[in-house]
Amino acid sequence: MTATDSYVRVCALGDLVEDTPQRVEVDGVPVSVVRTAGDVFAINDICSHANVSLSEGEVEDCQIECWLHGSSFDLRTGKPSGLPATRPVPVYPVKIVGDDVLVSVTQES
Amino acid sequence: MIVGAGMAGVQTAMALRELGWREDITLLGDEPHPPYDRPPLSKAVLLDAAAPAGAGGAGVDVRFDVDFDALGVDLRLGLRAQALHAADRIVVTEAGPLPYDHLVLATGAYPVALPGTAGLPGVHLLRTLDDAAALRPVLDSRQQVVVVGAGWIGAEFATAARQAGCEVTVVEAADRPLSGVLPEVVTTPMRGWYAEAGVDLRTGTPVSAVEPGAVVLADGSRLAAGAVVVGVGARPATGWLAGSGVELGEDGAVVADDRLRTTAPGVFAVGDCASFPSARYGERMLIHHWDNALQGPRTAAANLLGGDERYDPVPYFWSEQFGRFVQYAGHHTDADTLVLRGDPDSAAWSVCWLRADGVLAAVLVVDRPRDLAQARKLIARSAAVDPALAADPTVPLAAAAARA
Ligand SMILES: Cc1cc2nc3c(=O)[nH]c(=O)nc-3n(C[C@H](O)[C@H](O)[C@H](O)COP(=O)(O)OP(=O)(O)OC[C@H]3O[C@@H](n4cnc5c(N)ncnc54)[C@H](O)[C@@H]3O)c2cc1C
Ligand code: FES
Repeated sequence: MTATDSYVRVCALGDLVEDTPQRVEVDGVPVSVVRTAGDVFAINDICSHANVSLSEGEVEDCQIECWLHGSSFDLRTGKPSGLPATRPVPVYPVKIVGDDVLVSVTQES
Repeated sequence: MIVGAGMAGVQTAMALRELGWREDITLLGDEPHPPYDRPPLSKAVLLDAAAPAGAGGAGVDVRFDVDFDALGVDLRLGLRAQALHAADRIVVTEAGPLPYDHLVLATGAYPVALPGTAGLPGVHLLRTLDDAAALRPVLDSRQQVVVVGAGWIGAEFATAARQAGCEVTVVEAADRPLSGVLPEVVTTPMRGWYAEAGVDLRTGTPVSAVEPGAVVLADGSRLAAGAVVVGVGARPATGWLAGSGVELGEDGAVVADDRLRTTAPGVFAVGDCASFPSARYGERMLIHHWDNALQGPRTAAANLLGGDERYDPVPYFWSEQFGRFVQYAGHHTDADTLVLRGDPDSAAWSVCWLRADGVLAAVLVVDRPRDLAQARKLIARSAAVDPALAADPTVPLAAAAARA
């Protein structure tokens, strides 16, 4: 399978509200899709600190903030910027084709 | 040296290293276990116990995800600090006197017991990993449980016990749950949560005695109890500091200043064991919540290394009870105006407290995490919100502030 084949359409670009994460499932993996600052990012929806959904969090400066204890994760790298989380959250490549948002969870970007 | 290897002590060690401290760090803890996180003890740990055999059961790992060797921290577990001689910069332990240059007090709090129940079999407190382990058989054998105190921990324990199939009665001396911290508009729906979970909540009924196998209430009724779980508050674990040169308040807390310095030179205090003056709220605060044990150590570590940072946080905590996430941020008084955001009988709603000048003082959020995240930022910058917009759950709180 080529990398291109593993991309799955998750939503329409027009469905995404700026800075409001949208939770989707890709091949059984919960993913938070975020449109911010003219770009679209995909990050695993589960916080690396405890088992809560990041898509309920706020987006600011290309970071998604966990609503439970406040760690922020970089949407580009998945790295936490501060405690309590210490481990990164997987992030996934995104492709925009026309009005379609495609995400691949078979490769972490 | 750091005394107390809980959240606040561990965070202090991490913050010191992050800020570039290269000298030795000794972290002293009286518990035998590697440092661990407490909130899961009344949640995931018990819920895991409540899960039927074979349903996962891998156990919940509550240890902090920290490599103390790599961090260069000399972790001395199972060693209790017995006394402090601040004038000589010495901590006395069972293993002898230990000198220090700088000291951070992080001994946390211990749970208050019911008078006359010390050593009674079947009476439990819930503070430590050992306490949680002792409660597992209670859940596994579905014993009849009486919980004393309808506070945060009482509600969380009742949640797990019901899930395990125990018959649960919660007795509360006050006329409603959380009467000391929340108004009736909020606690009335909470009463409903107990009922919905099948918990018998009896308010306005103080306990007059605990006997083997039963709890006797002030109104004379007797409740059969295979186990009694007491959740009636906690006190700073500072007894060992009496006469040490470090001032303690009437509440037992180490009296820290707004830099988290104590009254003894070179001695700081963080977490559940210390109170500090808040300029934001104009009063001295003693906070027994996890976020305070996360934030305070950063300030204390920075100041220990010669910085001059003020500690004035927006208090925050969360609770998981009866299948709901309850979160609170800020600090309110009875003088503040309460604004309902959504229907408290519905699944998700919030409450805002506004000061007379319209500034958001506090929020309580039930399964509306976005409200919490936005409110924390608004409260931190003392933003005013429009009461009408704040009352509309379809308008984001941040937008209610922008237009105020
Ligand atoms: C069951 C439970 C559930 C909780 N749930 C939540 C929640 O959902 N949300 C929330 O915000 N907060 C919650 N909390 C509160 C939160 O866990 C505490 O605020 C936090 O643990 C405080 O950290 P600390 O390091 O100050 O104190 P502690 O965690 O109490 O750690 C202090 C450590 O110091 C040790 N010690 C004490 N005296 C000495 C001595 N003389 N010498 C050596 N060691 C000593 C103690 O044994 C302990 O290990 C919960 C607490 C409990 C018990
Ligand atoms: S669960 Fe996300 S930071 Fe704790």
